[in-house]
Amino acid sequence: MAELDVTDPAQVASHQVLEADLGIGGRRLVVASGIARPEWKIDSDEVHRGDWTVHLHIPADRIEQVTTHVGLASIGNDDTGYGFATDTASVTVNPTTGELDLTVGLALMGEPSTLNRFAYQVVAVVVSTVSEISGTIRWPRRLFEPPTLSVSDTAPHFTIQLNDRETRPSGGPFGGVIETLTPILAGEVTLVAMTDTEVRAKYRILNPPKGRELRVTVATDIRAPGAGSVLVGPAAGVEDVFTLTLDDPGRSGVDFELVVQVIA
Amino acid sequence: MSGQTWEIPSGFIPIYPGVDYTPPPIPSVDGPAQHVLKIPVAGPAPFNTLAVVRGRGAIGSGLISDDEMHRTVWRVSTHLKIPSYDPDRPVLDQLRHSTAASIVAMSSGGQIGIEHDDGSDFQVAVDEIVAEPYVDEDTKRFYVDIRTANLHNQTSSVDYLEMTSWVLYYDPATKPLDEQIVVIIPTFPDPIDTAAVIPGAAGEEWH
Repeated sequence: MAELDVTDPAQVASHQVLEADLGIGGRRLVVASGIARPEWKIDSDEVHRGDWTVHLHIPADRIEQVTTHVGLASIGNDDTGYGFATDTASVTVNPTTGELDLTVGLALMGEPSTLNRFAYQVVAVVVSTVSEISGTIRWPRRLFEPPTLSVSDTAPHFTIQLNDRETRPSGGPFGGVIETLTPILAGEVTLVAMTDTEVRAKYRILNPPKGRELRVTVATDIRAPGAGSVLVGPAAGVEDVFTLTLDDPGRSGVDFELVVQVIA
Repeated sequence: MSGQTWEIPSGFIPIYPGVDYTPPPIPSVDGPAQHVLKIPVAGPAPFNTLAVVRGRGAIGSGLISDDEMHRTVWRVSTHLKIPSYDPDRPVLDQLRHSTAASIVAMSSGGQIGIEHDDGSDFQVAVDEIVAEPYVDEDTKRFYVDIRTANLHNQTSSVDYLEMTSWVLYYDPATKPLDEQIVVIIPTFPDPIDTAAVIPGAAGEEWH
């Protein structure tokens, strides 16, 4: 089994996705076409078979209907008998990423023969359920009190982001890792509430991706009175780094707190 | 094949030395030809129509056997017309397409050349679908450009591709989905005549 990814032009050429809203219950018609590049070469007078999986990166929690066409796109042989075939094709939802995968069975014979490319077209009616990451941002009322409970009075003071998280060893004598965060989605404040001592802003991030390590970050422009500085971090016991899956597509209770650090 | 007309593909030479082969028929661009399937869709805006079309074309540059790779871009015609097409606007602002093309036919002749050895080889390729399609500003017909290549050495073949293109565009003639109300009128079947003779039923001779 070999894998090809549509995001790499060296592995898949001319990948084109077309989506149409069918206007019925969130159903989408998805058409994905392209030319995969297995670049498979053999030197044998016997037929060899193998499966290639193309990661299409099309989110779909459920496939309602699907039909697939595959065909030879680039073949070659050097002065011998030969055989080339696209024998089978199937489309599934990857349980880790929640995205469509196309698996194609190829056959090849020749001394030598090459099956450089095959064409594919996946036509599917898919349903994606809405998932979200949600939580609350809390801070002392004395630190910042919005003039009203309108979201528009509070939201501009926060930048809520969902990031792809990558780590690599720092290489130092004490171990540790260097973290790289790449923003992929923005969050939004949906509700603001106040008690006598505290302000709470609920937020959400819609349709987060699956199968990737993620980290939620919150930044604010709220300033501390005097010489202190405002720090934003996850509330006690909250894990702000996680990986979502098809079975666990969302996360709630990813809460943050603003604390004032007083500089002595 | 009723309702369709056919024509010889461009570049076709009726007699290929050494290759006893007739190319696959290609729908005529002028006749009624292959049908275009059109589906009303709700979006994304501003699109309201999804069409499915097919086309065929040649691969490479024909029966040249010189051990050189010949790369050719074929403009494959379809029977789809984009009625709202405006040549003064970028084409990809006016439609989206997802197109696949693969080898549909290939026929090779015997080994050719002044000196025969064990070095005959070939490569036949549909390399790329050009992302930006072509729409004729006069006829508004939709075309797809496809990059192909072939190489022959001491052999030759005729090779053809078939493509299927799904096209999302705006057609003023398409009615919005919420206007396409399906009215189901109940019908009442005639009373069943239990005395009627049912062919094949017990007691009836059946030939």
